[in-house]
Amino acid sequence: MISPLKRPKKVSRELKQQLCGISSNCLGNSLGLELPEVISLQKEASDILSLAKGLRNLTSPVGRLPGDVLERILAVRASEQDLLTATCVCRRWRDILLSSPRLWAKFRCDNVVRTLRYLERSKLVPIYVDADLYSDTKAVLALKSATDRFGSLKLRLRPQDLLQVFHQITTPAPTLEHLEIHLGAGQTFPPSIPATFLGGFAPALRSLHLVGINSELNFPALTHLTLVTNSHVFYMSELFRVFTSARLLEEVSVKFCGPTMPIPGSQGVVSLPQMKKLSFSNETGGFPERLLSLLFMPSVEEVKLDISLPGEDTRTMLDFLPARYPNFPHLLKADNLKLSVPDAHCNVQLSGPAGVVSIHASRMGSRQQKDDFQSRWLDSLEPTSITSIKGLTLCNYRPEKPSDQCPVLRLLQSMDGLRSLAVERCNNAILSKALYPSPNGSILLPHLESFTLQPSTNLKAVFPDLAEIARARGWEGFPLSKVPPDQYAAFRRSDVVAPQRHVNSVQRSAEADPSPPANLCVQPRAKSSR
Amino acid sequence: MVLLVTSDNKNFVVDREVADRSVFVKNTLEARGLSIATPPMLNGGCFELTSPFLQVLEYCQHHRGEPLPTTDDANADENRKRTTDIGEWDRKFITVDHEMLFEIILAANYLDIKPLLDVGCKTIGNMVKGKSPEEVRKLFDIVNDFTPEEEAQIKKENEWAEDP
Repeated sequence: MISPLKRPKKVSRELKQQLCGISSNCLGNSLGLELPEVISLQKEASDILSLAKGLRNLTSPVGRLPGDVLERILAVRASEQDLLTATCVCRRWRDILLSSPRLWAKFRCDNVVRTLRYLERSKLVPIYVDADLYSDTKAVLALKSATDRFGSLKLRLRPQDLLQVFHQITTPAPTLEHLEIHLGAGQTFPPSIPATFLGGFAPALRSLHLVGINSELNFPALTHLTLVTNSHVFYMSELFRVFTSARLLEEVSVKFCGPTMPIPGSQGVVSLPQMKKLSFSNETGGFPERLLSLLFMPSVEEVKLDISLPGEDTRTMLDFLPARYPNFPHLLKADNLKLSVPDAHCNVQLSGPAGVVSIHASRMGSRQQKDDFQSRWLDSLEPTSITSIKGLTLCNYRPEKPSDQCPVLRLLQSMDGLRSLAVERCNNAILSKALYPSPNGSILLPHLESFTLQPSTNLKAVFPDLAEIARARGWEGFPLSKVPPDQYAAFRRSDVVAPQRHVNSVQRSAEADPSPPANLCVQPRAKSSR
Repeated sequence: MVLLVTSDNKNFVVDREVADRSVFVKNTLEARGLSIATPPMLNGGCFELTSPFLQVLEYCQHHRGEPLPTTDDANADENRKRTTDIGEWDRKFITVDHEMLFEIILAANYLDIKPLLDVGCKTIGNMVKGKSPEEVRKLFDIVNDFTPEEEAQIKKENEWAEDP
């Protein structure tokens, strides 16, 4: 007898020869069997043939891969179609893939059949569901039976469909960790997530992402919140309510559009004791006064505000920020300070191990108002508070003739501990003035380790004596981006040259070019029109 | 240095840093308190180990010193698996015949070298992408072992996926 284990090909051939081409009737007549018996035998033969082929597949190289490796291969599939294709390759692949529920746990609710199939194949593992404007609402509603397996739910539906889903999916979702609901742009009425949605019970929800929609639900375990909404009267109160109910929030991103006047009955300080990151954007208004307390949470590592300051909001911000700035706790902890004073914006950013605080406020009004604003801002800075700052980036500061009494210079001069200094879109004279305040070349900022100039920096303008060296060596117009600390003095007085890689862009005399110091960093500059 | 002995009794002396790319070898050495010139016997099981092992060693040598994926970060592991990108060197390294490719994957799986296993799996995953079942069978020398009834059933089951 031939063992199918050893000779599967031969077995297959023999069986084929014996069975193929013989009709059930002929076979029955020749063997003296009834038709059902023949059909049963044929089925048996077909199964044996299939088994033999399957055994033969085990001898192929890919057949030796363990099931978990095969699952891993299909986990990196590009599309659902590839996964379905793989289930049709052979029985072993199909068995392995259909018994891997994680492969079927992430799906789109396009139609009811698909949804039910995925629900069945994903067995009991958490599911990650996506429904969009092309989804059949019935398919979304088919999820009713599986809310206890929700891991993530993303809904981007029309308002009427959303309302239907909200009111029909009312069983709890104890494992839901991420909920994302988008209301398409241009929708005329923004529904609110009713308290009955998911039975009002999603205790594991950590991340909530709402676009154009409010929520009446409470999410006590929420740690990440993103709200993007159009302006409407009740929104701000909703925002406060979420903030006051989700005390574990760590990251908050709010994109708001509208006025932030105090809301009647909405009093009290909002406190999020674990908040690390806050991003608040309001294209047409300011920052809600009631939320200002969030900027002072001890846990805060990063704050980004992008706001306009019209009307009353302007006064609120102006009165608030400069007045409290010296007491800003992060100012004392921060390692880096970024000052930006452009024409139309005011931007202060602190960064360091304690985090980043960035305030970016669009300023509306006349030029005179802007200048006043700038002046008030800088004059309000308390230099003694920030002597511990180790890094400073100065942006968009372009005074024509910076005097020694210039607030920024006074600020710089007070920063004894400053180790790095960078300028962006500034008048070079400010840096030159800071580093060479007097003709004898005495250097302020004694601990300065490096400074970074803007790409258009001309050495001659910033370092008059260096410019002489540069000119002698043919470095005319050569950009310098960074000078390391121990090279700073030497840079002014000794033979310092650009790294070899710039030789093609700079004409230099061979004898005047000693090897560059290892830690001198000079970045090449893009072709300039100058 | 560590002496590694394959199932077909070939000896390989490698740096500990290289050997530690394999979680299996690393754990074996640590569990036994071994360090220098001690041979952990690698049981190759059903496959000849020497040939793919040379390839695996080359991979470990190239990637020595790189941070090893941590076992407790499930999300990172999931992301790594789902990213289909393969580095330039890895892509050239894994450009081998099918036989060797599967041997490398088996070795990486056995020795628990997840980054190498990922490279192998992604390579095969990329081969499968966009192909029909018949093309996949042809590619990997697989015989269609479904009975006609099963095929009809599968086709019926998958009708939903063909809807626009």
